[in-house]
Amino acid sequence: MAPSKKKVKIPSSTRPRHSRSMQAETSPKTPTQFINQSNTTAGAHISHLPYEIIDHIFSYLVTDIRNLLNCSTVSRTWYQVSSPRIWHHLTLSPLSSGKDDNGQAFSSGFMKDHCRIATPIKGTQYTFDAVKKLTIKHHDPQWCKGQKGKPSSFRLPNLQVLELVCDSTWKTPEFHTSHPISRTRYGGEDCRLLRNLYPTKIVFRGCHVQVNPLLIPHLPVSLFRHVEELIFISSDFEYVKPGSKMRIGSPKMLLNSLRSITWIFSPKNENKPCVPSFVEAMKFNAQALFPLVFLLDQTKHIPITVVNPAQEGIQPCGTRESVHSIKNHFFKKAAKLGLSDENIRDRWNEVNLISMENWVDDHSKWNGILDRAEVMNWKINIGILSMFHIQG
Amino acid sequence: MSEKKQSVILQTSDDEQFTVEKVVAERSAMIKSMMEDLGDQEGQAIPLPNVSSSVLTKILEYCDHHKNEPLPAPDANDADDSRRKTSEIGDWDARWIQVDQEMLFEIILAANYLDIKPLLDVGCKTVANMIKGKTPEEIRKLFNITNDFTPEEEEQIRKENEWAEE
Repeated sequence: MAPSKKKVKIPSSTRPRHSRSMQAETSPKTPTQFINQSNTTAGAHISHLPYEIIDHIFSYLVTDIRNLLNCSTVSRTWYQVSSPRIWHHLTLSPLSSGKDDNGQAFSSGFMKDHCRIATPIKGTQYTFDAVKKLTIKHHDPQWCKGQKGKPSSFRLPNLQVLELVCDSTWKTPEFHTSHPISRTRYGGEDCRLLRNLYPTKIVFRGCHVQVNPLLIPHLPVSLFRHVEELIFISSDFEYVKPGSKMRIGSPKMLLNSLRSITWIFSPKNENKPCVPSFVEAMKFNAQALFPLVFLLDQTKHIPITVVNPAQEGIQPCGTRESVHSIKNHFFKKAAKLGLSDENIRDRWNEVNLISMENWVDDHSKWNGILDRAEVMNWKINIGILSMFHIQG
Repeated sequence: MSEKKQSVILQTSDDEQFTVEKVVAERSAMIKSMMEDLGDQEGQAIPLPNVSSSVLTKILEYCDHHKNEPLPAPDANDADDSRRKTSEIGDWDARWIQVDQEMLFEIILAANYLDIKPLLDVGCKTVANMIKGKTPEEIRKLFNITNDFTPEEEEQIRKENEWAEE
């Protein structure tokens, strides 16, 4: 095919100098002439585009996954290039579909998906190599069983972020050990589902006192081997469970790579009642955070950031008062355990209490506030922006 | 400054020379840095062995139209990503890029080689818009791509994709 024959108007200064080129411009070339003249880009075909340009093209298709999926079925090259964009974030959420095609309950649908990951068919490994973030929205010990002769754990070699949604539908990993049936069935083993995953960042969402993952034994030790960042996200309707008892386990996992812990109390959820009392919130702070700050050897020297330690529901109590209350509570408790004043102060220095920007009347009352860039960073890493209101 | 210093000579793969206003040529980050390297060596043609005269003619038209716009920052990768979300193309650009496929891909390759980021975006967006809403078979036909999957592989990918679509 000949190049565009459209007459091109060039500003005088850009006009070719030689009469030869003027001629070349005005007389249309035949395809062969054209190929001879431009050696490297002759007869350009889409297959001549380097992979990064194909990927650039695909970057405009991410808003509708179906377009990308169609691209992935075009050819091997396109499959290879599109996989990272399609499978970058893999979510296992049996609740989203409700029932599978055969009308079976979602857990069996999950089993099917799970097995697909656990035993990828040859030639489709790109799919799983591409996964950088895995979200598991539901967990049942049943899934750790796997199917006969098939591995129950799966491998995602390039996984960076593991997000576990520990809301009310999540059967906590402690179930593996504390439930009498599961104990006999699994022999108190680690959660098999997570056994071969090595993320660098773990986000636990929907955390409440009993789902404080560091306090629950039998998450696989290996899961934490390369973890640099731990993020816990609680929302105010979840975190205070009246009458719940804290379990202080002694986690055996090594957190050698861990560099930071962030605990985020997400703002009030419109559909749920907010925390009724300041005292309740303080209780939670004490229960969930105290062990991280003072008791656990693994986290003793890790900087801890607590975002929004006082919830919206308790704002009338005032921000400065909240921080003071938390501090006093912690200091008293630590002193009771026989820690020295110096020890307590050292440890407390590693704790940073910050608030989302528009949560407070007076920013100066807080140790710090999150700036916009940080919030954006969360959005990218955790995908929770919708929960926050950002002020310009 | 003399008139001459305001322009630069570009030599294409088919040995044609174009005298181009500097402000137009500077749209190409690659030419811009070469001009800086060459300094004041007057009359020295900048060779563009990967660009043919017909493609350069077309591209210079684009550069001339956009010559008064601010140049994108050299490290604008983050901004790129946010810009990528929309596949809309400006009116003039959309009319300008109404060319046959071969020319389109040559423009893209040249924009990549010459490092003209906004032009590369326009080219890639155009291809993306051609892909949108088409079945794999339609895409293959459109771009003359050979289906090199085995039937089993194709079936497997289709299954995987059903899963992703949920």
